[in-house]
Amino acid sequence: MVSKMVPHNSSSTTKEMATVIFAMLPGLFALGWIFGPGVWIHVAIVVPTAMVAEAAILLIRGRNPINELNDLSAILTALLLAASLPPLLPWWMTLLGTLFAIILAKQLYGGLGQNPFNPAMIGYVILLVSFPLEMTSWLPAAGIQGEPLSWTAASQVIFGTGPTTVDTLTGATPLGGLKTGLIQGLTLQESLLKLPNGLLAGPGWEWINIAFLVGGLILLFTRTISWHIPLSVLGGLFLTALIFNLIDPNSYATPLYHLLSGGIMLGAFFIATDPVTASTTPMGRIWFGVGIGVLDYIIRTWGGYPDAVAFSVLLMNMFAPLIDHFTQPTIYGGNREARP
Amino acid sequence: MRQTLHHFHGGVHPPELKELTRNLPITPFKNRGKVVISLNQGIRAFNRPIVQVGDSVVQGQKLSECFNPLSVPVHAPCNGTVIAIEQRPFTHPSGLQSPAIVLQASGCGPTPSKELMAIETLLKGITDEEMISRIRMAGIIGLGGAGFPTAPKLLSGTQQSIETLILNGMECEPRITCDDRLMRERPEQIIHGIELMNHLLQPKEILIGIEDNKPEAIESMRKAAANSKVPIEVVRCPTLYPSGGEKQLIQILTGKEVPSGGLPHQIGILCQNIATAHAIYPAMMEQPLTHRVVTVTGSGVSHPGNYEVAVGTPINELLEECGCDQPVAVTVGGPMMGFSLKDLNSPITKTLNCLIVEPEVPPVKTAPIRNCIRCAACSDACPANLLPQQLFWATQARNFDDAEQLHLFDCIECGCCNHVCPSQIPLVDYYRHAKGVLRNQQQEKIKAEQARQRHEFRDARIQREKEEKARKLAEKKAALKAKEKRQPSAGENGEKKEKQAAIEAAIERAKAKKAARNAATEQDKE
Ligand code: SF4
Ligand code: SF4
Repeated sequence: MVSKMVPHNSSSTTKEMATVIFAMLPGLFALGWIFGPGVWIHVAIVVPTAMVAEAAILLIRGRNPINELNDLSAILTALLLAASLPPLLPWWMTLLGTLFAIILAKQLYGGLGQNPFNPAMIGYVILLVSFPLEMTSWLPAAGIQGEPLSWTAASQVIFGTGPTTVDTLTGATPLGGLKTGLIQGLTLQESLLKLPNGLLAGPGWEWINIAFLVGGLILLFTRTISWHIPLSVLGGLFLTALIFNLIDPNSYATPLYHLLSGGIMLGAFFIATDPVTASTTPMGRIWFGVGIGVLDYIIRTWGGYPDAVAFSVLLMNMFAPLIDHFTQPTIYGGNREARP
Repeated sequence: MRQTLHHFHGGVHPPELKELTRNLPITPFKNRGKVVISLNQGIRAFNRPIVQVGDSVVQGQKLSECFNPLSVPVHAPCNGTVIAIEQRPFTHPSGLQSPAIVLQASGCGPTPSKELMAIETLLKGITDEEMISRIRMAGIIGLGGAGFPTAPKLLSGTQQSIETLILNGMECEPRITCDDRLMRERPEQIIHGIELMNHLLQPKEILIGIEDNKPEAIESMRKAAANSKVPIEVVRCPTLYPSGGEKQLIQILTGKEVPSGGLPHQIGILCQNIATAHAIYPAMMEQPLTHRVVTVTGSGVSHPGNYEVAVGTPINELLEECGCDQPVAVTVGGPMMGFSLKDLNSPITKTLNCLIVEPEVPPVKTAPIRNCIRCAACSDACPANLLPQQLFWATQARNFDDAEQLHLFDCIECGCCNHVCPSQIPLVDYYRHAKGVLRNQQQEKIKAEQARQRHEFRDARIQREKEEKARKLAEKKAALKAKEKRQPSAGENGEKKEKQAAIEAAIERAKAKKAARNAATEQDKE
């Protein structure tokens, strides 16, 4: 209990989570437009699953589930996961990922605020490692090429109830295709040309990234997040990409390509900024972000997976306590000996 | 005009809520009932009363002696009779009791003339030491908050060279308006106090910091300062809580930081509250500090205002005068740093600047306290540039040593972190608790050290006594031997004597043996 009526700026965890959820909408709509209604089917799976899983564990832990569910953090985690999954992932994989995220990565650590790793990314990575094929099968960007996927087709694939199967529809992501091309010894230009509709950053993805950027700007302007992390993630990626692009423009894509492909905007504004798992000092947040940007580039370019936001975020989550330790701000009055 | 103002880290903008009382003039409150003068004036050392039950006292009479150099005597704020000297509830967050002199008020002494004497005439033939002693004997302590006695502060100021004398008229806490009113209504007396301090300290510059939400006060102080022979600059500062914190104000005005664990005079700065300055002039006229201005505000009273109240007035009597006729919850001090009052019989103290009176309603359901989400809103707001979230984790896990490493003792308990925490965690409560535990540990350590010394001293004493005994025994034995040796030379007619001597010697030996045995058993016992 607060012992007296202290004036409060009436910020609340619930409000902040609600703002983040709201700011995700442009990105989700872009996903839905480009890749068809699969995204919304995922949303319909993950949100209730997350809430039920969270409530169940809270009950087991002897807590009042209503009090903690209404902080909306479970819904946010679920949405972040839904936005990262390939749009036609079988429903039970989505469900499994959600359970991993909420139960293993969040509640088993003690719930909101206690988990060292970003729950949505844990769910994503577990799926990626367990089902590498399904997790890297993306649809061609239908929204751009005319032919949008119907709700029926999407649900037939996701729930495995009809003739349409994943193989007839999906392909690699542009980032994946680019990497395959490069491995096959083609130059960057040739690899990009081989991709369907090789625009700036692969078909459709630039729109998704722009939409998440818009959402991110909403978060910045409502002061829900501070600029430190997103700017340093994007800056870290941009600079690393720029350096390699300048060294050898034939093998390394341009910085702009990197900034607009994969899940980088979602990662920079929505995932890396999860306060619970990020560094908490101002300088620490910058190092944290730069680390994600650079790692993302390294794993994208030389690692075994086409995109790397999830791995980079989790790796930096691991370093967050260390970063915090070394980036303590100088207190008022200098860093003298603490006095009894 | 001062060109650059500096910034301190963080800070918040809580709603000011000063409108309720800022335009209400200072109103004297006449005591009719009892006055409870606590002998605990905010310093650990208690005063010793020099009056007895039944004595009649007059306004301004000294009631106690103080021995601790950091404490000041207390005085009668009105004429009256001593009716008791006993334990009374004290105005303190813990609601503890403290010894107090209880007076039955029976009227006031003569009101001092409003005319202010020129400083030169006033100070004729008064030495610096005498000035400081008068300030101490008038019972003046810092009226802004912590209540540190003014005399030793000024004394340490005279011993170091003070470059900047800062007067704190910021009053940055919401709701409080008593300093605002003083600056608007009695600027001359404040300026006189400043001139007196100027005489003592001879600073290079004198600055009065006032937040820009008090334009009238700035105007009034500027006018009064312009009439002074001493150059005094009134600096208008942006409103940002906690700009009136001593360290923050120093940073705003000078850009300097008081070293952690240090005091402002170490960097050539001395800071006084304007209400303290206001009390210094009467002190020079040997009128002790017995009254102060208190803002009474909140929806629990029908006549909020700024009251000039005798120190020692029971708070419930003042509230009655303010039209409080319902059960109320009272916060002492501002809403950010104040504490809730346990017992309405507690007296007004010298450091009490504000009473927030709200009707006592069944506790409203406040937003639930959630887990820390590490959002760092608190560290962004912390004026001491600490990491409140890490302090919180450490104190919550009872890792108080870690908390100390995280500079717990640099926390000024301003409450900015509480104010912004989206999880509504009462962070400062954790810090206060941790500080208390650590201070106790420190005390325990000192006590243990003292006990150890006492123990060692005792051991040493016992050892010394043992050695003494053993030495005495050895001496006796030696004397006996010498005697034995001497015996044969006593002559032949001494045969009988010899025998006797032998017997005696045997007895002696037996005695000595017994003594030795006794000593040995005694040693065992010990
Ligand atoms: S403001 Fe509250 S929730 Fe945020 S980091 Fe600080 S203590 Fe944690
Ligand atoms: S109360 Fe302490 S920790 Fe909190 S903001 Fe103020 S100085 Fe910082």
